[in-house]
Amino acid sequence: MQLDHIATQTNTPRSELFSGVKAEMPLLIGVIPFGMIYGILAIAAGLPPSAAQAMSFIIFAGSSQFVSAQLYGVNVPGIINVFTVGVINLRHALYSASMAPYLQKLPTRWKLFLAYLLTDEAYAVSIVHFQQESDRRYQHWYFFGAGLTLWTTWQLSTAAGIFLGTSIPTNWSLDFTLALIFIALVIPSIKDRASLGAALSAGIAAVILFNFPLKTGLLLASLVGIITGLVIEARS
Amino acid sequence: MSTWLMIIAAGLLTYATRLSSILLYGRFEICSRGCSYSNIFPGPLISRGRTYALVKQPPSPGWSLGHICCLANKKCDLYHFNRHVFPLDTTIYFHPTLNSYCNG
Repeated sequence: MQLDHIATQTNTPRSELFSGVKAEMPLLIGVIPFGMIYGILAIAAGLPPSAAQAMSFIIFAGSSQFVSAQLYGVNVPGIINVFTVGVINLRHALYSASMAPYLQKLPTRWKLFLAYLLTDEAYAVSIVHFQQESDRRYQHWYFFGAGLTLWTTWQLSTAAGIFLGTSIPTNWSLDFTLALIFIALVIPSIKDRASLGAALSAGIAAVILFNFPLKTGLLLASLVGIITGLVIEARS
Repeated sequence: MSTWLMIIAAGLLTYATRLSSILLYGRFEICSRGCSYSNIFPGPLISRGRTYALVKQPPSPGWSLGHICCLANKKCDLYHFNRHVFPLDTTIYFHPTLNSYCNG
């Protein structure tokens, strides 16, 4: 039995990186107008351009940035704004828990960096790759490629929205791209009864709980979906 | 609260949410499952405190590091390797040259 067998892999950091970039590309179709709309909305809400861009850089979470900018525009106290962003982004804790086993062996500096890039879109493409690919040596490069692609696109589209996008007519209703992005993320992952049940129950719960304060309905709907999926999986 | 302080606080909160499990995973973990498709290299028996590499059996050009299994320096409640059952307090260590990954 030779340990030399380990050297038979074909994956490289470079190949994984570009695979991640390539996998992320289709999702950018929805991200670009989404980022531009955020930029327009942030300026309209009264955020200075530098602060609007900084929000994309520091928070880097589209849906919470939308809500935060809107709350800022109606003078909601900052602490409530921060708390609301935190609640909306609580789902990232679920992503983090899901990704953690695959990143466990990485040095801390990699973990610190990749956590910053953990978004809906980067998670969606990376977790599928992690589950399908048995060679885990360079999987973090795939995540890095996907995350960096999204990050770059988000920053640029936000900047475009801030400085150029104000001329887009509001009656184009481009904010609907947010829903399209999430639909595009969910559909490919529905492969069995459990995932279908999770998606349907979470969707229904999200509508029913829509008016819950501080967007907590979103979090509760996520929990409903998780529990439903687990119950169906356990029974089957 | 100033606009910038609000953005920084929200960013830190979001980042902490993303980082939490990624950073902490495995640090306080007690493995509760064995590795069903693993074998022990170089020998079939485990001794406390010795170093082993766990590899898929049989090795072939297709097997990968992802198949090197179970947790380094973690106590498990029960081990089922190569049809041997090991007692509760057995600790397995990996070969130090292998960048092993948990599949357990």
